[in-house]
Parts: sequence; structure tokens; C-alpha cells
Amino acid sequence: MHKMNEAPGMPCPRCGYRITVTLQDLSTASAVICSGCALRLELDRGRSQAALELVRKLRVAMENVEAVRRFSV
Amino acid sequence: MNDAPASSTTLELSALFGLPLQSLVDADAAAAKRFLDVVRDLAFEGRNEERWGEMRYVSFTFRHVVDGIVKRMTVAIPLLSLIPLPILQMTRARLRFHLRVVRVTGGPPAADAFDLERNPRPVRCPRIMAVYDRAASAGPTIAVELHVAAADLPGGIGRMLNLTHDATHSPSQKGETDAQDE
Repeated sequence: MHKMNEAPGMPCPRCGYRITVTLQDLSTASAVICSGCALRLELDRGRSQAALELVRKLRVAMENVEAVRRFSV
Repeated sequence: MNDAPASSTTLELSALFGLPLQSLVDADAAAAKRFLDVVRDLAFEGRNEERWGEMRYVSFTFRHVVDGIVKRMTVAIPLLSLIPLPILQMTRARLRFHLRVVRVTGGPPAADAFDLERNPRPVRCPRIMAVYDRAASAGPTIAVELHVAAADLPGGIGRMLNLTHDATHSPSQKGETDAQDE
């Protein structure tokens, strides 16, 4: 069951532990590691190309917003 | 007393109070709609006027040992559950403006006006007509201070996220199969 406003992520396919995934992970990392069982999940960049391109744009947009916010504070 | 407006900005007092509040509600609604647009644009593909389309997925592969054989498995996770959802709501608004009463139409209600047995008809209260006035040297202004914070997910989006758990594709075996070397 999804909890309101929990960090983005997914359940580990092996142990069910929730793996937190960041935009940074999706943009630059080659894999994410389950903290519960140490399973290494390799990002299939070829198959996920369209989705990851959107993630990259979202990350750039959020970084721009953060830069403006810091500048204006 | 003349009912004609003294100027184009003369309104009833209730309208002058209500218009900025209505703008706040409209702004909150616009932010919510924008949030939905972002969710649709990012997390769905092949959408049109009638359908949201299909969920986008991010695929991961991992090694899995079955009967002593290491197999490469694939799991597809909905992008919707992997991105932060930028939903905001106003938590506090402070409005500060000056009004100048232009005229008052109608007199005060009669002493027995609120006696429902004698006067069952609605009481007509005076109408106060006013304009936004200038605070100092500047023209009429409304000072607005808004506080926003991350909002709880709307119920519909929460249910959609729950569906993403069901939509997570179960691990499927990829073509390659390696002999176990561990």
C-alpha cells in the first residue's frame, strides 16, 4: 500500500524492502542497491530511454527552481 | 440615493472582500490542474483527449539464482512511483488592502425587521459601495503574502500510486542465462 508522500522508490523484487530512488540515481547511476538484501538492480537504459530522458529534463527543471529559490532567499 | 456606480471600480463591499479570496481559490485550483498536467506528461504516454494513455516504465535487471542457475531477470517499475510529485497547496494567505466607502444605499433596517412573525420577508440591509483605495502615494494596492507547503496527495493520485504497485511488472526472465559462478 502506498503511503502518502513517501519518498519515490520501489519494492525490492527479491525481499520486498522499499528501495528509495532519487532523480540523481535515475539520471546518472548505473544501478540501485537494495538496503535490505543488497540486490543490485541495473538500470536498463536502453529499454527505459524515453522515460529517463523525461527524468533528466525534470531534474534540470528542479535544479533550476532550486537555484532561483536560493538566489531569492 | 443614486444607485449608479461612482466609477468602474466601485463595488459592493462583499465583492471587494470576496474577489481576492476568489482569486486565491482559482490560484489553488490552477496549481492543482498544473500538477495533474505534470503527472500526465511525465508518467503516461500515448495519451489523447479521452485517455490518459499507458504508464511509462523504467526497467531494471538483476541476477537471480534458480535451481543453481544464475538468470538475468527484468522488472519494470512505473515512472510515476519513481519521481517526486510536485504538489503544493496554500497553507496561509494574508491580504491587506484599503477601502474607501463611496456611498451607502438604503437605510438601516426597522427595529422590528428581524421579528420573523411580523416580517417574514427577508430584511433588506443597506448596501455599502466602496472602492479599493490607495494606501499611500501609490495607487490602489493589495498586499498579498502567501505561504505554500507540500500538500497531501489527493485521494485519486494516492489510489493511482497504489495501482502502480499492481502495475509493477513481475520479474521476467531475459534471454540470456548464465551458469552460476558464485
